[in-house]
Amino acid sequence: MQPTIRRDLFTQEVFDSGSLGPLVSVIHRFDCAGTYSGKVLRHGAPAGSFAFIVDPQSETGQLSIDLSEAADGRHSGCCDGDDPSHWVVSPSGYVLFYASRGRGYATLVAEGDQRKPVFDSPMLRAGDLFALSLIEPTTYHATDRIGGGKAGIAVKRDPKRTRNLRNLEPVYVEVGQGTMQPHEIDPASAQGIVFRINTESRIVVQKTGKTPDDASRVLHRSFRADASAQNKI
Amino acid sequence: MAHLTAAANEKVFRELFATIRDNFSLDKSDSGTFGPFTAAYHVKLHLEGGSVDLRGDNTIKVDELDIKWDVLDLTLGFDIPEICVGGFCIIPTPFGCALEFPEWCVFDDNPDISVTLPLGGITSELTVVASLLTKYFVHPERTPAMDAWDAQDTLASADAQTPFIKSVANRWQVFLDPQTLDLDPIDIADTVGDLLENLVGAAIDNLLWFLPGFVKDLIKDILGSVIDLVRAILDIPDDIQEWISDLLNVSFGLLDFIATVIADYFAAKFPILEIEDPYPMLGKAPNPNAPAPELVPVKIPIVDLKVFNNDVEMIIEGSVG
Repeated sequence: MQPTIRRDLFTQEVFDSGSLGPLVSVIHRFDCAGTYSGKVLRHGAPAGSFAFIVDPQSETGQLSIDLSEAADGRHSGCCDGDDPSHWVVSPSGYVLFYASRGRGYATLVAEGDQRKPVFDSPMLRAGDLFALSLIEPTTYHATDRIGGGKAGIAVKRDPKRTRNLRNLEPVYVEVGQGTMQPHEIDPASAQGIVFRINTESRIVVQKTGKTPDDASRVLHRSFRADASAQNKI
Repeated sequence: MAHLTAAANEKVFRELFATIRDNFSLDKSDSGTFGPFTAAYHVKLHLEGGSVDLRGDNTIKVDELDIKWDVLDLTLGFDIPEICVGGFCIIPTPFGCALEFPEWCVFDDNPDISVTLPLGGITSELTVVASLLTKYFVHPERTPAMDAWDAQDTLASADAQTPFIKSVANRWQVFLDPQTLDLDPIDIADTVGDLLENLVGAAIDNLLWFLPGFVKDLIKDILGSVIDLVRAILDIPDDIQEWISDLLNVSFGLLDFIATVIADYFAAKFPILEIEDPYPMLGKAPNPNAPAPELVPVKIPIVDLKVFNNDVEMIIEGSVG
């Protein structure tokens, strides 16, 4: 049997915290108890909704919400007959938003009947996380379109690390106002990368298309140039 | 006392044996499901060699009879495991993972692959101890209206012809009836592990041919070494050679099957000798009173045919009934 392959996993060149697709997710902690309702946006247009409860009695530390399923109406929330235990999370836990299928997803989450969202995925805030996995061994630029920080990513093939993906610790990048630290990382293919958000941010990781070796040289040159420019300021 | 006695010395007996040996062939396929994998085999084999020894205890020993495995194809089919990326821990804690990244799997279904190991070209040895046995054969194509002369002159259909007599006449048959039959286990070449690894590697390459190079690399990196993958899926212990031998010999019961087929062939399918009944003592002859019709064969009925052997010859005795 010739299997059907998820081509979308390998053809993506832009990974955007404000436009979720394969292999990316945003994470937010809702630390106030209550019932939350969320809107799913796809390419900016309303596409679905969901709801969940933040309950101090809950021991659930992670609630993963698949925005593509919510948009299809397959997961519409806590109150329409789905098992409520799947839709409750502890205030000390995390809610992870992702899209198992398709691209261009975002979400706005508000508490109760309030109109002002407490979480707006295209604008991450301090404490949020943006996690992704890059498969193609090549170079990428990470840019914070709000805060202005930049980093270079050179993904390398490393069979030893890739063999043990689930147990491989991700690479962490601290995102501050105008900065990303470290500003160069070299994860293995498919290794996790986690941006820890410390300021208002929208992280966009874009493939630059260089082979790893060439890209590594380019990265070093460009970031040395950036560093000297910053020193001058 | 027998009215008729005939004997064949050991040299003649060997020639008779060579005829039945050379007429044996087997073409067999089977398949089965064994938990996480499926397996199928196709075998073609014939017999060669063998030293025939007539023994004083009324038995015949055939030693070192070779089973030549012209074809021994073993096909293994299995799903390769899910190949997924993600699933890493975003926030590890001393008590476990507090937040886990979702997994995205590369294939919608688990792809299955199938490899065929060509294991043929090997030889197994067989030892048979048999005694001689007579059976009376009534030809199924002989009609009640036929007399013995009609039957002698009527050719049987191709499927119903027996080895020595092509007509529909009834006949006595002498068979080798195996008392013991020892068949060596199928001895798989010790290079089979490398062969399996290469074939599975090639099957994975074939499965992924349409993918970009870096995706193939990633999948192979996730899967790890092919042989470890195969061992894990098929639950193969250290010795692949022994595992495959057991699969054929024990799980499929191929060894017992072949021993049964050979025993049945010797004992009931292919006689070592046939004697037409009534036996044509004199064949057709021109009539001395020509142009009168030619003389019909002179035939005598045989009853109580017995066969036995000593260490120098096979002896057949019968009576005129």
